[in-house]
Amino acid sequence: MLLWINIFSGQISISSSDLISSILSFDENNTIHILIREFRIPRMFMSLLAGSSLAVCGLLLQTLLNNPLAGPYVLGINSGASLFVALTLLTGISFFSSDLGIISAGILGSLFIGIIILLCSFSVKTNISLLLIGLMISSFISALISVLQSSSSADQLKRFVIWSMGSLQQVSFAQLPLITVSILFSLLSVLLVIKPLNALVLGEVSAKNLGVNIKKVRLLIIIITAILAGIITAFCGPIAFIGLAIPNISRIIFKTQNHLILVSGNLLLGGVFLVLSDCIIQWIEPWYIIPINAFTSILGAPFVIYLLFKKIV
Amino acid sequence: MINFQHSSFGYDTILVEANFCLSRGFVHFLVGKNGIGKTTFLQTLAGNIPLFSGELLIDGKNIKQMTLNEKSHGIAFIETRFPLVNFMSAFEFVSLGRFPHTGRLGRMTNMDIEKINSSFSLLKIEQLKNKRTTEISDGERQLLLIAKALVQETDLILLDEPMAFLDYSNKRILIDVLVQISTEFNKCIILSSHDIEVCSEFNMPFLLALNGKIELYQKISKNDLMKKLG
Repeated sequence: MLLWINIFSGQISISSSDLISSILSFDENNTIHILIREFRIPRMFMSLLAGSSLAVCGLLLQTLLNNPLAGPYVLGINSGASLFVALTLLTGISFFSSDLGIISAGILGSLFIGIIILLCSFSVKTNISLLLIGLMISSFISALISVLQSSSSADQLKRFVIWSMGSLQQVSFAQLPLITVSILFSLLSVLLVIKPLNALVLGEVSAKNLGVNIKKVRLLIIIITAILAGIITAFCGPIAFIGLAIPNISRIIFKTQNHLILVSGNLLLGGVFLVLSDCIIQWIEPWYIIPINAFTSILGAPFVIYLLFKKIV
Repeated sequence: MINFQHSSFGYDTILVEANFCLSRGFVHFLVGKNGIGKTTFLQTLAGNIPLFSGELLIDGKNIKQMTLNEKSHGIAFIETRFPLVNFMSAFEFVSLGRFPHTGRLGRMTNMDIEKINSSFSLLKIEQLKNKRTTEISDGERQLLLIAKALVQETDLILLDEPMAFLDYSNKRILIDVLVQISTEFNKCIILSSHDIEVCSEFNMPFLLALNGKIELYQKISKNDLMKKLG
């Protein structure tokens, strides 16, 4: 239902018959049809996919590192994607300026940082140190991005700043199937790590004694999160809040450590949260334009604090 | 059950050596001063630290050649500190012991659930089932750890100072349960402790770690133990 509302939200109102006819009998000269196909439908799917994937990424990293503060953003995996996208947008290397170039840059960037985090995780004793390393990498990369920004043209800079505010509008109808399939495929592979995740809750030593191959699971989780966060960041910009907050919210709501339930819960809550945020953004758009990255935090942060006060403290 | 052949234990240098056989059906109390290598010994048996030198056979299998899967079916290891996690129920916690026995997705069959339930009733802690692990006492947590090791269905159970945070009566309850498990299910249990008083109330063998050696005493009086440990 929320998806339905989302499609109909926006400055130009459309009717349900327009929606159906734009899908079934697309007319190139009808502006409403173009609006629906090129803007509304991709936007709706992207908000759903982005919300769900980022939430699941956050959950995987939080359990792997045994720390509720972990998440793709905190560990610098998003920043890795940002850096590589910045390199493509700000330096204008021609190979990377295509759509495929941006996706591959995003995935490469997040995999790159993911692997650095992974290598560190082998030699660092506590998960707190690992988290600190992630934060350091994050700030190191933002510094690099600032350097890149200061030496690029106004036009390139504007493109990058708009991208970094987060936008669900970057994907076209034609790109949608490829993105959807690759995200769904990565989400399906999460099924492989659900069982080890349940044991990892007890810590790595206990998990190992239950027969979990820690190194293999670590590698798998880093790859999955890098791919998911990479795709989403490449297209929607760095969306900060969801990966950190939704897993915590879902644990509070579902009151379990069973990851089959938690993963499904995160898929649902993450998707719902971003679609809802997007609806609200579009409703207030005539008066005020808020980038999605800012809005998720404005809406979500007080909510998490409220939940913490009410249920735990 | 466990065959130590000039086995030595340690990280960089040898801490302790052992050369004896342990059999099923007993709780072995591992005693000795701090830092002498009790935890290293147990961690090596659990497969978390490689054997320093010599041979160590568990049920005829060389520990160096056991896979992660074989170890998880044969050895249960209970750490001193209970892994506290928010929002985990006692039942969820104990059910993780079934991990080596469930399929790829970790779905539990009715048989798995039955085994978990019977371990709760064996330890007389049914009332804890739906409580969260953050809400119960240290004594109850130790019993949950044992329930988890029970449903793992291993022949060997290792406990690293399980009584460190318990009061006297809970210490007795804990060892009573372990003795019952070792004799009833014919398991080999090794437990490290500093509570020689409590341990010697039970008629069970001692492993004494002293001067870089662990020695097995099938029977030893409290006074002799105290004398040897100084």
